[in-house]
Amino acid sequence: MSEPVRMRNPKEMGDGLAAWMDRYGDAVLRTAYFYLRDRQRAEDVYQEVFLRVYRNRGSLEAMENPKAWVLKIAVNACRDVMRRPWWKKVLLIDSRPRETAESVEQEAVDSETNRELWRSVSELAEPFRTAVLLYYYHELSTKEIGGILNVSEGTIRSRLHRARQMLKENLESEAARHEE
Amino acid sequence: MRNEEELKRGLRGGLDRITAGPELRRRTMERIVAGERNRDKPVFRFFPHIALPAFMVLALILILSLTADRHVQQQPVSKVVLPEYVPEGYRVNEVVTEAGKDAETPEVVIRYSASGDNAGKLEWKQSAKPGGPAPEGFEPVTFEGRQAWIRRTGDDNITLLWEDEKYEYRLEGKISEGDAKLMAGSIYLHKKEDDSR
Repeated sequence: MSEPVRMRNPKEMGDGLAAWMDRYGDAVLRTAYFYLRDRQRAEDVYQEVFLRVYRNRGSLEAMENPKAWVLKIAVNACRDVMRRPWWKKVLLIDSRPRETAESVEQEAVDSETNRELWRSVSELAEPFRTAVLLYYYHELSTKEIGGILNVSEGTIRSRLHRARQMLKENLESEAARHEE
Repeated sequence: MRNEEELKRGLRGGLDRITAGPELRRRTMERIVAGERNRDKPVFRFFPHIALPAFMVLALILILSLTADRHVQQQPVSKVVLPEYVPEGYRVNEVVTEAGKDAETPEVVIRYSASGDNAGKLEWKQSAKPGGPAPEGFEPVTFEGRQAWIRRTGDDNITLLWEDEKYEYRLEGKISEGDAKLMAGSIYLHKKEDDSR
């Protein structure tokens, strides 16, 4: 668990906030992107998260697990975005907003294996996707993830188990389709 | 899926290219600085210090007037202090005062709820014997250098107890220990500011 960065008052804001951005900025942006699949919206969430970090500067020293706390803010900010009416309209018009899982794989994922896995994970339903992201990508414990999502550790273990089953089934059916 | 390492590689392949560049950081800083400047304007200074407490007092009076026919004896308290920090996804539902069995120890109860089945309450009352021993079943913890006691139960419920010179506090519900301490700490800070005036 990393130590929180101290940020006592507005005069120290520049250095303190920059240190938080250094440490957790990429994790926040990637989480938001994974959720929303839209770079612009992900950047909005990034700004919102660090605004809240700054507003909670008086309590940061008491933070036991700053990474989990920041990711919890990010996940909740993404959920807020997805609850907004315009977001639902976007989903009705196009089931995947702007940058899709396919475009990501075209641009960035090199190997066929990674591409299949990325697509399968991206297509997992909530809440399995988030559990997989936090556990396998951010490498948080089931207890930490439970704290972020406000569910029990057992529920997280169950979601991860179910997610692995779904991924396995998806990848096997994909492989069978290729063989035909 | 072949193994979990492949899954991690797949996620890294999809996400590692996403980075927060200097331009995004600069815009974020500017937004925060602009927000702070706005908070420094007279109208923003007025709101939290005068308008907000006045609104809360009026809300409390309204609540008390609406619940006057309760069986329990009701009496106003001089001040209601809301926690400045409430965890994401939670919201305050109601603020009530209840005298309970002992009319000399009024309690303030803030009920809050969250998505799913997470809910709980935060309450405090005038303390008759500050500095008492640790309650049975609780273990000591600290937040912001302040002594507190915590009890965790199997279904993710926690109870956090602490006290200051005047009040005993009890925060109870389905909430993480870190969030509970942050809520507790935000009340303490608020009270400290009030006391210093």
